[in-house]
Amino acid sequence: MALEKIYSFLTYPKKNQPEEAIVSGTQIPLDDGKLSKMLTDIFNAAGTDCNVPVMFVSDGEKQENAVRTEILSLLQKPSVASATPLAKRLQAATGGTSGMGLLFVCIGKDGETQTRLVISRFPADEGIVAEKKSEKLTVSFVEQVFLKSAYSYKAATYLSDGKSNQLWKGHVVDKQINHGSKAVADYWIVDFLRSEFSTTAAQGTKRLAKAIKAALQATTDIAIKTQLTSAAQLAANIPKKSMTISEFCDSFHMSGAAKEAIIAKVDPPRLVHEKFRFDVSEFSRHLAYKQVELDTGAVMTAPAEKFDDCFKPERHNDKAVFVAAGHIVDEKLKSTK
Amino acid sequence: MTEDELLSEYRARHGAILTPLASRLQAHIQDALTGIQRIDRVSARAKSPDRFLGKAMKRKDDHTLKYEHPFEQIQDLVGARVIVFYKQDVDVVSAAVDRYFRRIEGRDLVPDAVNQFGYVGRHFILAMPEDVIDDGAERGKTPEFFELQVKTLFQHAWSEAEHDLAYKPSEPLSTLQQRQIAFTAAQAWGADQIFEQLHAELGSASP
Repeated sequence: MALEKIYSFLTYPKKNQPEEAIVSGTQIPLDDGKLSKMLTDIFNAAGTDCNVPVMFVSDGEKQENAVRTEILSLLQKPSVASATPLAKRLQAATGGTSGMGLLFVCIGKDGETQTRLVISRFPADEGIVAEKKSEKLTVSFVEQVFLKSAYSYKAATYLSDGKSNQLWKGHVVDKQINHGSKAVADYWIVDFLRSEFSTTAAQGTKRLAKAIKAALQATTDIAIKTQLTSAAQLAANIPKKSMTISEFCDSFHMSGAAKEAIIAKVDPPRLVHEKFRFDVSEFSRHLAYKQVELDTGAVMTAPAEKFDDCFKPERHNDKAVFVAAGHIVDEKLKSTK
Repeated sequence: MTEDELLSEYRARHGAILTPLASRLQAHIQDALTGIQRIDRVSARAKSPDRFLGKAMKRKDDHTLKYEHPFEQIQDLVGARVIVFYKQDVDVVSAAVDRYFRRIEGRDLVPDAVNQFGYVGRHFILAMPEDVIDDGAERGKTPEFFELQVKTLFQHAWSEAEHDLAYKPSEPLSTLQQRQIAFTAAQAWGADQIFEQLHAELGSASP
């Protein structure tokens, strides 16, 4: 890979003043300096660092997305002027919480036929500079320090082969993707890039729910079954946050065997690491009921999130006793469980 | 690429990539639409090599090729269809499509003028779901998008017959034949209108 052009813009939080002009933008010369080296490292690593697949959202009936159009123009004729619309767009999407930032737009070759674009934002922070000059220490406060923050660093990368109908998909990294505030979580992908995760909330959640269901059917290990059903019951309380199937398992501190049981049912396996926004209603559609069967032949079924309320479990020696109380509203005979 | 090279490359992709992909896509769409009432059928197919070549070699008014990169620009190499009973069901299926798929285009195809009758259908261009692409798939040759059509039974029946007839004549249709085809489209449109109305009036009994 070879970084060829770097453009940089200082962007301010102007969410409520979208028409505000960009203060300054410049092309940074590629040299042996530390800045060039740092940006070259970011450019070269973008293919692996940016690991969340995203897709531009179509503007409607036509195959159009304003950010995609701006990126295609930029790649066709790279310059400070053609990169400015992206900087203006970032500024207009930035609220006070995200604050001032330094935007870098890096363009270069990736292989023989492809061009890579890397867009990254470094948030502004305050800092202290300590300098030692001829045995004297000088300490001073600086306001505009731009850091590749471990907590709020954001980047996006796109690969272009120059053909039309391309560049709908890209990859991002956003350390605040799971931030509690929707405004912060949506800032980079939704507001700035006008994109969404490649996997819809419903599709990702269905994939997870079906993997849990298949894992429950496949295993005979009661300990694993208990972990999977507990996680499914508690999932009703998960907010609409982004996650991968792997992260879902980790969030419930599942054992290695339980996590493996779920992962084994994800097809194709790479989708274990695909981000999606968890959708409680979709999850409930697929895992609506919990069923417990005893060795006596008794089968108990109740809505998953209410099972523990419907059947109060007690232990009598090594046996489980379930107590259910209520009015009988129906009785059935069924050919299957 | 020459015409022969294009056809040869497409044939290779058709057998090795597109046909199995269409089969997995069909199952995937059926799964996504599980539980929705009044779906007559879900189908998916890989475009036949002849049809692909015909489309790939299309020329613009200035006689240059319409598609510079046909493998990427032709977005219905894999196409799917969902046929439903009533017009209301088109909206129900479309809502499910938006829940489970990422689309870059979605529009209703209708005749240009209000006093014309012809092809009607809802068309989507959707991202190929990752679930149907194997880990070892050759990404460069796997289509990024596919076309999904959602139609009523009458819209489907009319477009199939019209499509079949359109490939038969060696010379342009006569005025009468054009009127006859428009008439059948109007009949199909009318049938959909009446069934839409009847379903709205009687549908509450059978959701």
